[in-house]
Amino acid sequence: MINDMIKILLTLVLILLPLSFAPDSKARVFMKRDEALKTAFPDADNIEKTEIFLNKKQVSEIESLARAKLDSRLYVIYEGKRGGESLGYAIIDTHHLRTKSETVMFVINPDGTLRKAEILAFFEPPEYMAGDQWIELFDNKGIDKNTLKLGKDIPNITGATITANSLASSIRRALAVFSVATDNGLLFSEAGN
Amino acid sequence: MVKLGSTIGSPYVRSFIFTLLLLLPAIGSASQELSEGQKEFADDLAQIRSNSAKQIKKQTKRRNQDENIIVAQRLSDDEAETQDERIEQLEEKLESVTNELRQLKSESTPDDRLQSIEEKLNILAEEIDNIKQASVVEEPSYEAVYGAGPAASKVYLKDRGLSIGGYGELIVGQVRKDEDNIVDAQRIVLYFGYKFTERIIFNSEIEFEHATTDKSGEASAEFALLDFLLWPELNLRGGLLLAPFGIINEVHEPTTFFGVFRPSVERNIIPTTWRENGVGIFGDIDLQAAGSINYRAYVMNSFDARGFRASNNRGLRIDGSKALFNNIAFVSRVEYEPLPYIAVGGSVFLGNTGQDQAIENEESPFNGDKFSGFFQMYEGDVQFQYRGFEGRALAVYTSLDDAVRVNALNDLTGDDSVGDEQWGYYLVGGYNLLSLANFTNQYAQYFAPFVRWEQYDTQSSVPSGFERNPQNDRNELTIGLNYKPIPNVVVKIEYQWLDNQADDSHNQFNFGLGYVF
Repeated sequence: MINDMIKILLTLVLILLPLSFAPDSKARVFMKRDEALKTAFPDADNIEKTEIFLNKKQVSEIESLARAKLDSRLYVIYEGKRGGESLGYAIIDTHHLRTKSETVMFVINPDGTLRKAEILAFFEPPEYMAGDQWIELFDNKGIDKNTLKLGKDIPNITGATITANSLASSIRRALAVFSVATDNGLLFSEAGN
Repeated sequence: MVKLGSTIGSPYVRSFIFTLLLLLPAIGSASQELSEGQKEFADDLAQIRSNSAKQIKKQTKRRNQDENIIVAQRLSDDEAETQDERIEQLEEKLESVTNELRQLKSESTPDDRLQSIEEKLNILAEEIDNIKQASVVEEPSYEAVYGAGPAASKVYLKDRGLSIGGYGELIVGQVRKDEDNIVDAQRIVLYFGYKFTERIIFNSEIEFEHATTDKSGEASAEFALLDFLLWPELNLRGGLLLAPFGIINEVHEPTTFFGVFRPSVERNIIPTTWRENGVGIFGDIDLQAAGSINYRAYVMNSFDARGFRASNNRGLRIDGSKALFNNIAFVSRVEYEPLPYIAVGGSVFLGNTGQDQAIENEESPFNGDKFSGFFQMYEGDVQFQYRGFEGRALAVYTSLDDAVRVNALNDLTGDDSVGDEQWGYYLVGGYNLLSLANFTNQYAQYFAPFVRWEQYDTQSSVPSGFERNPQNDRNELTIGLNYKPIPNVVVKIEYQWLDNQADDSHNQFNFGLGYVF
């Protein structure tokens, strides 16, 4: 039996190996930005973008809310609209993991809770990437000080400490940016409109 | 009066006529204010415009003087002649429109300038955002409105190349009664990855154990492999591979497990860190609401029966170093995560270990024999994490054929016999007390006391004619603490009660410092 298994496995490897030479430059870039925004707001007839320039006070407000450092004072918030009605918001964030980065899109409900997080590109070896089910734990979570804590609200079973922490921080940051931007009237239209 | 031919021929007028034709729509409203005569002229001109509209439309896309000439020449001489005077009038009108424009420009309000600055700002913001998110921005187009900006950011798209990481277990100390106290720089491990293409990736861990090769240390490749990525569900891997068996063998960064030392079951029965040369498949299968499955299935060079001992399996490993592969083993692990809080895993190893080696033992009736030494290992485990609680349970069972011949091969007699069956399990649980606290800074600290209970017997059965050594029937209780000031750094202390059926137990205190980046 064991010899059969070995033969099957080796044959499979030899048959499949040439496939890895097939050109597919998007293997680790799962979705481009425009494509991602379309999937974020499938019903939108218009996606507006607002550049958010944060002042120092707003930065410190966000950092305290997110329990994470901001490395930029410029954020772009996209808003999906249908007939002038807001369908939600999206923030795309690229952050470093070990040496390489990942890009994640956060889709935010008008009430400031996370609708979903979607990894758009991942450049570390794939085994460090968080699974869908794990990412879905953040769905519908909001940014108040007692939530989104790794190891408490969000389990970290796989031992992927760096990637898990990094993604969790990034989610908190995005929600905090959105919250502060809304509170300070930095968006074109107020949330919920 | 200037002759029409020369008028048309003059570059100034050619440009003027052309500009005029371009401006016609713009000055359409102005023409309403023209006198009757002017209206007539305007009508004529409109006709000219209509006559040459198609041609003009085509030509205006490329704005150069040659085109002007062509446009101008297309106007028939007759048409042009009658309009000679009117052109002059229009020229005057154009001058007044230009003056109006100039006036408008000079009256430009601060709001206009603000708008222009705002627009520039937006362009800059967009450029910066494109650079930040380069990986997911569409491939830049050189016809982009903002010129070279997107092209300049293209370099960021080339997110290939080197990735570096690492972990270590430092100041690993043992304080023991009636024995030497030891402190060791146990492991310093560097991780290097290199992405050749989106589909072909090199990954490795280079390990320095016990500080220096001058003493008892070693420098080894812990793994070094090439991944060939096809689909999330099915990918290929080849090289020096970590055997996918148990929990710790593949995931052994110090921040991921309780205790200074790895559980004894995962050292003495599952010989971590166990790596051999091989190829295989791996992948993740998303079952949507039913969770997810990830698996690895490899063929690797098998163990070497010369390494079998009564007390542990650590000598079985060849570590991929000029490894015998007269016998090839099948090693596989499947993990199922029904919920993110829980993972259930199972591993199997099947392989002959005789490696075509003859027994050289003149005192043995098996002298000169070759044997298969079929070795099977099965493992099952559960990991869970909920709120501050974390726990693991693991059980392993092994069975060895030809144990008598293995004993002959290794000159093992009496109670030194290899076990033809082994089993072991451990349970470990901890609670992060600081999960109750609310941190206001970036990192939630982690302070988790834990308890681990292990029971294992590497000689739970021996071939007839040999005896079990009760020293190999062991149980160990460990109580300790993992403290992580940040998630990447861990300080560990523990106290162990190490006991066996021979009752020659001893206790020890251990401490260690670990990191991962």
